[in-house]
Amino acid sequence: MENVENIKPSLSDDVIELEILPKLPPSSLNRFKLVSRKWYSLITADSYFITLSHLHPHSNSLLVIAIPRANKPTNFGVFFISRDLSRLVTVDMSYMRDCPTNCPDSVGKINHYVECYNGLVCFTDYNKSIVIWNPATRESKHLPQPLPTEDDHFLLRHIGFTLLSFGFDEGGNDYKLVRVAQPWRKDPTAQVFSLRRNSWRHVEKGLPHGTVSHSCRVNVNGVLYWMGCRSKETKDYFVLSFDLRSEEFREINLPPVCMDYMDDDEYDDREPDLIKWKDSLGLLVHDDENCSRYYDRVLWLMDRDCGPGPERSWTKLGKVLRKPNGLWFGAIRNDRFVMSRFRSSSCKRVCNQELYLYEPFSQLETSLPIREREDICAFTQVFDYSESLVSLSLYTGGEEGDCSRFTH
Amino acid sequence: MSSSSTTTTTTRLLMLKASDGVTFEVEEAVATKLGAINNMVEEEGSEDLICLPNVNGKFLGMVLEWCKKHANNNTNSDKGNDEVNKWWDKEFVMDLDQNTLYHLLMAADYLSGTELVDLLTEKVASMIRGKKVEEIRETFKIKSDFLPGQEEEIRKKNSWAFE
Repeated sequence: MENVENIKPSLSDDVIELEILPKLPPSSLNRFKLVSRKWYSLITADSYFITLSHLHPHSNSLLVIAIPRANKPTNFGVFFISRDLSRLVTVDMSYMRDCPTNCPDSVGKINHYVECYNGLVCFTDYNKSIVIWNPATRESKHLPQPLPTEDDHFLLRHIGFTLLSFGFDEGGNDYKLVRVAQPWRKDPTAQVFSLRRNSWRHVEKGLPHGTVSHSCRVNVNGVLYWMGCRSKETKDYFVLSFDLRSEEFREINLPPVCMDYMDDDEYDDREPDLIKWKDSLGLLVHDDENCSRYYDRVLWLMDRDCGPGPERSWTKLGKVLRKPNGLWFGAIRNDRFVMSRFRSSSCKRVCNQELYLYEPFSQLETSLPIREREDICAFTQVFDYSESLVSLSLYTGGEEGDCSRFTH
Repeated sequence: MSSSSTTTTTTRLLMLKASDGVTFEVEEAVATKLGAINNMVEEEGSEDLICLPNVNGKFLGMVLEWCKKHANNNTNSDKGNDEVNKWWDKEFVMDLDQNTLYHLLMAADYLSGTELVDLLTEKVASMIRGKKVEEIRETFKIKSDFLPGQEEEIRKKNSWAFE
């Protein structure tokens, strides 16, 4: 009788394509495009496969944006921190033609990185260009110019005068970018870009009646959130939300907290912060009742399934936490804040800024072994990043013409 | 305690017959971890003897060993058990050679053992992630069907991926 064990078994196409390949990281799949025409179209152009592959997040890392030193022109100041957080890896951006890369030669030409989502990085220069880029597939796309607005002085395009936020609309399977012009005004205007439509559109519904804060924005489950303020004198704060699906703004009331301690005009570090905490929207506030020290904070979490009205239900976490007093980049990794601070250093030729992780309840710090780099002036932004195969040309209708060529 | 012992006494025993005639007597709760068997059992008037002409006895035995482990642990699902299961799974796939792994995977797929398929394909993925294109073709018996010149064109365009 023949011995079954010695027969070389072959796996079915379904098992290979639906079970094995999606478990591979994009770096392997980029190579395996060459196996056959079928694999090529699966990996580059099959949105079902790309979504499957996304369910297995690989190579989670941090994307670090730095200001490079002038004498290293090939370095664009974009790095990954490896998954084990031990190394800084330079990201090659030189292949991006016409791309507003960080140019160390001209002062002020540092890009602003808006957001990192599903492996897509959205960034803009200070002037005209907005780019969506997938570092894992090296695909990038320049967005069309935003729609002109009433008083669209060139200065107002400056990132300092607009507010950009990027995210994924899961229901519509679309990536969207929201731009709030002049958020310091009481009645700002806004427009939204959809990758699928490949165009901008004015947002009419639910524009806020108050100013919107720049620094404080969070993306939770397809909804973007910012801190808003109707009146500093009366401490009338609110949360502004933008639903990426319905493209509507809404104002949400804060939980009942007493903020009598703050001055009316001067900047106070105790202004409320928004964070994403374990897949929920969190509000970090200093309240008189629970917080005795300046950096003490109470964390309120907004319940996920409460209606669309301004009143939402919030749950207060019992434990008081301590807000770190270094520079917080907004990124949170495994419940730890990604922070930086300056250290005194005798050598002027190295970056004396260090990066560390901070656990706000225990106040434990983990320092990252990335310091004293000669090629960096300073770190400016940090994002959570995970490689993905998300294809930009799939959304905009394959303008590259590259995806379907080899399948017929 | 008493409830689990009654389940054991009232549980139905199934006979599974592999392609090479080897039979296994298994508790229903264990065998129904496999979707295909679950479907057969749920059909009315099903018999206690189930013939599986596509699965060899050696691999059916291994699949059932996995089912037994996971069916037992299902009754009290707490976090500690989850850890034990993970560790057990790791041991289970650790030293499998490629032939056994593929036979086992095809058996698990045929029997719709979704969780086991997941475990085994994870193992295959970890084995092939660093391989070259040619090695992948050989492993999965795939012939390149690119037209002359196409392969070079893609390779050239994506040279960074092959560094």
